[in-house]
Amino acid sequence: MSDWTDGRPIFMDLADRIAADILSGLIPEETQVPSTNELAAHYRINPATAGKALNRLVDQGIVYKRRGLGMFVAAGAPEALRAERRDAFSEQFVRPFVDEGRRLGLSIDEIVALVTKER
Amino acid sequence: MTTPTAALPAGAALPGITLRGLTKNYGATEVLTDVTATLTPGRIYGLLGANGTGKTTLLACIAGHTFRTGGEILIDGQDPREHAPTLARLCFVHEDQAYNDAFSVADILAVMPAFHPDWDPDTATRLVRRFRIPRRTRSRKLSRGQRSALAITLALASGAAYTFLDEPYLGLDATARGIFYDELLAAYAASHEQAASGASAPRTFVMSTHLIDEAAELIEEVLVLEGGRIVLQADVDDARRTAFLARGFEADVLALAVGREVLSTRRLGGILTATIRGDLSVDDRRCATEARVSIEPTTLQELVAAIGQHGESDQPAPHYATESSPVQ
Amino acid sequence: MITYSRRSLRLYLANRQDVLAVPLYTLGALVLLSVLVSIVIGIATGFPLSVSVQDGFRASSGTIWALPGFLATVGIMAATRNFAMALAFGSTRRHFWLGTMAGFVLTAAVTGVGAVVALGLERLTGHWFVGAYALDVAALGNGNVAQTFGVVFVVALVAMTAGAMFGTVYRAFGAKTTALLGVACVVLLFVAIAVIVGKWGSLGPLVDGWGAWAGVAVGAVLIVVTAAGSYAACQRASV
Repeated sequence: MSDWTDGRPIFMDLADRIAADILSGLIPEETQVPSTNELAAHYRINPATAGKALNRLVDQGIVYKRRGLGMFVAAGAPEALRAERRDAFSEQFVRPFVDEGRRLGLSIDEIVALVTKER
Repeated sequence: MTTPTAALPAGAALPGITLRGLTKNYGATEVLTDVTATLTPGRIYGLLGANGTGKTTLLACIAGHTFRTGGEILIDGQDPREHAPTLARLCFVHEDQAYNDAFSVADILAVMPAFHPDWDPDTATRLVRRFRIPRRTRSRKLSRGQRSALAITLALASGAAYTFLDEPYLGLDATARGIFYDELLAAYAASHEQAASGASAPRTFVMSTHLIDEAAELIEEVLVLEGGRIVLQADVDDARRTAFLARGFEADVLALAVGREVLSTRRLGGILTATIRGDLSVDDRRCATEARVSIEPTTLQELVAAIGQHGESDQPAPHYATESSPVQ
Repeated sequence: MITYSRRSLRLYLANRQDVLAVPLYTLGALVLLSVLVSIVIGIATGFPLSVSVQDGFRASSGTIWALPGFLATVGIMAATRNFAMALAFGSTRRHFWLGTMAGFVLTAAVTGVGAVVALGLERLTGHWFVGAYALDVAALGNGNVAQTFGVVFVVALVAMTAGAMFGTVYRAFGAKTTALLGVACVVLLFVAIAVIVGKWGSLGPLVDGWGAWAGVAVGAVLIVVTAAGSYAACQRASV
């Protein structure tokens, strides 16, 4: 239970996790993704939930189904994921980061200085 | 191996379990007031609710172990009362199941195949080994945990189309519970595989439980019993979204709660934590943040507890609307 | 019907020990008891036992009347403990009743056969070497094999069915209802006896003519009554 983000449907978290593995290359292109039953058994979740996660990835074009064989990572999926993440980077990370800085009373220049320090 | 009897009888209407206006009185006490629900085959259902809300009674009524006072029960379109082919597809081993005193575990296991043609001896053997249930011990000498383990073994290995589990984890430590969850998933997966090849209908599991959060991930759909009624039937994710937690200064939280139903509250100094029914739009969330009220999702356990607390306040049990089951 | 009833019969027979061996052990114990009693009397009055003593034994109903008590418990156990299991495993009440009744018939038959075998032994050993009449008694037809089997079978079956009836009522409805039922049964019994005694003028000769078969006839009536009673109790019992 502590594995998952509180309040977020498990299938979304699971889809993200698999996507992260694909992005990092742990599951290369055109290789097989674990089946719903394997995922369910591994994480101890209902197979329907695992199915929803995989379907989410299919909808996003990250994974596709080969009849009779299972789910496979689509060609170009890692790049697609990277691009998507880049688009979301600003909204998901930068804005909250800046908001938090502002909340703490930092000016934009001070925030930028903190970022440069990380180089 | 005989023909699997878990297959639907020819021409069966409406597969699954349908309950309409089910009532059950024990003397003057109304335990089940108006239970209406539909259970689709092939899912793992969680029957949730506070102690004494009638979860066991509900399961017993469906299985015919006790007699309903009124209302309708249909299993695969058939009233199960004294109907052998329907009841034979059902297995409900109680958490305090009475066995023949003289029977050992091995005796009970040997008898099961007579009642369940789809009995899987390999599963039974594996479960007995994993749970370390002593085969030669008489049933009355088993410990609480061993009894639960036996009930789980019988239920899962039975292969029954409709399998009920009543608080199956009582007396089981965390490791044993883990075994139970693993094996439940395995049974579910196996039955769906068989169903896919057309051999039989997939098994339906209904599990009543208190350990809601632990079991939440295994459950596909929840049925929440409160005040003798099913007040919420939904997909687990939808169920969680029927309420949220708001925390902040009392005045701010109550302002947010205007026009909504407050299920439960907790106070710590001037801080109020309220479980509020409904969902918040993006605008609502922005307002909440500005009012310094923090919004958190509820866990299933918190939601059920809140519903229970709400029930204590003697208000009529509301029906919780979700996308899939809007209020009529 | 057979398919589903057979399941409950298998359930009943799973307890092979209690269900087949115990009645036989009980028979054996009762014979032993008779022999011991005879020996004690013989010690007092001398061996071999005098004719009048032997006649006394023969006229008595024999040790057979202790059998019902033991077999009633078989009935109680089967009805209550097996009932819960059968329902849990998906049986209907009706098929459980049928299967269990079939089991009772089997046990009664085994007991009957056991009694006949014991009777044979009794005759072969000159009444257990001491003139003890355990099974060669008037109530069992004075050595008539068919009657011995008949009476023992019927007594055993009545005991088990009655045990099942009271056991089911007790578990489903509690002590008070069971007591009431007991009282009702006793009252009915007295009424029946009164009627029989009243009509003895016409019934007497019939009974004498039938001999032990009269006992079997009475038993058969009791079986029907208790079987119906246990069926009704079963249908209303929740688990």
